[in-house]
Amino acid sequence: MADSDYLYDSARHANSFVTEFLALIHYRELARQMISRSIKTRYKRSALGVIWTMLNPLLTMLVLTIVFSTLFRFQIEHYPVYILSGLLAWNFFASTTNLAMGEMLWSGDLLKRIYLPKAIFVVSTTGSGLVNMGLSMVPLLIIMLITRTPITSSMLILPVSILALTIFAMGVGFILSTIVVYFQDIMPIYEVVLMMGMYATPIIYPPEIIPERFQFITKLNPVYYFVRCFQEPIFKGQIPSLETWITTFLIAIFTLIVGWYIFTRKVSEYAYRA
Amino acid sequence: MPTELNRLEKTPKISNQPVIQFINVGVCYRIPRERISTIKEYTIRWLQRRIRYEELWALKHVDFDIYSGEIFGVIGQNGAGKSTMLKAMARVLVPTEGHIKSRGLIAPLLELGAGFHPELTGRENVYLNGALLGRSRNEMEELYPWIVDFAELEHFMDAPIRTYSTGMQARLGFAVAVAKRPQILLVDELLSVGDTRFQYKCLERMNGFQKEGTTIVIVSHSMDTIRSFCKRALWLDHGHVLDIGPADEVVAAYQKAMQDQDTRLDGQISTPTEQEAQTSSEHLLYDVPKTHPAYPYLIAAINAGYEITYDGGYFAPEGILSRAQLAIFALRCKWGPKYEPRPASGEIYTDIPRDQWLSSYVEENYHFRLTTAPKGGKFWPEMGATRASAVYSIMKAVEPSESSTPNCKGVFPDVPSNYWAAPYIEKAVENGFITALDVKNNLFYPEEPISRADTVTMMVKALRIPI
Repeated sequence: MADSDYLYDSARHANSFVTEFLALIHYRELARQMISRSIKTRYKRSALGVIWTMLNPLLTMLVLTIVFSTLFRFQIEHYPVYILSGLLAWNFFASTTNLAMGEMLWSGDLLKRIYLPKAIFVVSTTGSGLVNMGLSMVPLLIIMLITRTPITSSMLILPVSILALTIFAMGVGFILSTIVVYFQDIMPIYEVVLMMGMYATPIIYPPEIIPERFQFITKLNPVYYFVRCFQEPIFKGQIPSLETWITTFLIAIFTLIVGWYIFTRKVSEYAYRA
Repeated sequence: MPTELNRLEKTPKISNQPVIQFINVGVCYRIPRERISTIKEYTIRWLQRRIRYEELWALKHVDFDIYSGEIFGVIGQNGAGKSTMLKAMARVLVPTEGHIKSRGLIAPLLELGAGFHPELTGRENVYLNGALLGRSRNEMEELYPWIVDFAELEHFMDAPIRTYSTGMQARLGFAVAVAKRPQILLVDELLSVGDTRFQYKCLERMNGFQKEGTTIVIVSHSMDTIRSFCKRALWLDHGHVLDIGPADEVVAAYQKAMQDQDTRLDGQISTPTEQEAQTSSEHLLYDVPKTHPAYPYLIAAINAGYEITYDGGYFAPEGILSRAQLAIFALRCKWGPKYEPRPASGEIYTDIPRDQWLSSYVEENYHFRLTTAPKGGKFWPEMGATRASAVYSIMKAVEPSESSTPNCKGVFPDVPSNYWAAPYIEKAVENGFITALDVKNNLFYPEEPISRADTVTMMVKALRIPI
């Protein structure tokens, strides 16, 4: 698209379901720079650098393994791999959605001064989340080798699981970014919700230990569908059933469409907010 | 700078095609009457239907076209909606009613260097700023050498931008913004940055764009600028278009209205009371909220006769004070608000020639020892003044000239007693003229730049002007 052909009509931008997407494509270089900056600044100042991203889930896993296998005595073979596979999905989801909201809020001053497609913050935090998730795959593979967990070809399905989770996380990110424009209180509230969600999702414990009458909670927890798409191929060496995939993608795409719809409808008001 | 402005052609190729169309545009800020910040509060109020908003129409029923290739001026008093109009053109604000259509790449010269990241280098910031303007990586790689050359910062591109002076940052911001010819250029208060030579370069660049058909929209308080630059102008008043037409005519009508207003006010108020004097100084400080801690001090300074605002009534309280401004403030602190220095010799500082307007101020700063910059070196007038140098200059200005140097106690860990300005800093803090920047950790930060608000506050306190 040549610059001289570019037409702006504020009426189309007021409800910018499509135009926001086109603007996002135009500003892709900004997204790239924001991703590389967030990764650089994250590792620039620490001595161990990139190693931290890999060490972090490892240490979490170590603590959880010690606590839960001695205290609760779960009978799970390769328990560390079970935890890590679930954490991989959960950490990506939690950090991406939380950061997207924060970035939106902290950039308010900039958005009042120059024009930017506002969806860029959700997109760039998701991008850096993906890079970090890629890095945390390394310790996972190491642990699988150490614990002699069979590495099967079913792990090749993981990109599809990542795609589903990414769509879902972006949708939730858009919803939260819209809310945070109106209520900053959502930030601490969401932290609590995330913490509860972490324990309500079978990540550190097997789903079987939940009493029958509480099983419905797992069914109603949308994040668990995505977590399972990571746990099954990695830990069980199985490809999730077609039914699981359909449910998962339906949830993901529905969330993204809803998120994008309310975000693009409400976001033009951002510059008016103090 | 009317002579240079006159060099610009007034009528290049103007087509009949509108590049910017305002179609019955209204911009409304809804300001909640009470501040509601928690969901609980909001829910209760919403259930009670008690959220009340104050509607403030910054623009209302604005309807006009700007044609391709013209230079278009926007004038009006402070708060008339000029900035809102530019923001709407720059797509920052989406209008509440009506709509705006525009055609082509828009370069806003509104917020030069918005989004500059202090820790990143000049080079990284150029790429980041380019991306913020929507440029692709390839484009920026092509434009990069030109940007560095135009900003004249070849040797600084690998230094973090926090080490740049305000002037250098503005130069870099301008260079990135004008690296590529836009179809529309939006300019707020033309040429308020950089030194005269750089301003001239900017004009040349804009002149070149305009010859190639770029449309330029200028908002300015300077009627000379509008008259000599623009073909057509628009007069905004309280969000409404009062007049639009040939620049000369609109400016004349505006100036006449302002004069009438002044004489009307003069007729009404023969002897201004104290309260009315106060309002007139408030008028000069429209960018400083009344709740700003420096506000009473700024009013006191203005009432005492100090000229602290920029042309047009801006004060820019959080702006960095340049060394040149500090020189003027310090001299007037010493000799009174209306003091004019004697002509300069041009032989004290190598970077301040005799014919530069501030040379006489800077040289008298040297003569009265209000600055420690040694003779024969550079004065760096464009650089930001540090907290230490501001304290030094003001303390020297208010003190009897032959008083002895106070003793040092080493109050601040970051101002050791052998620090050059330590005695002055400690005395100023002891007298309450200025406080540590980090009170909790008792750190003064002598090398940090000082804001304009802090400087005037310190002046008023040191001069013991009643507030």
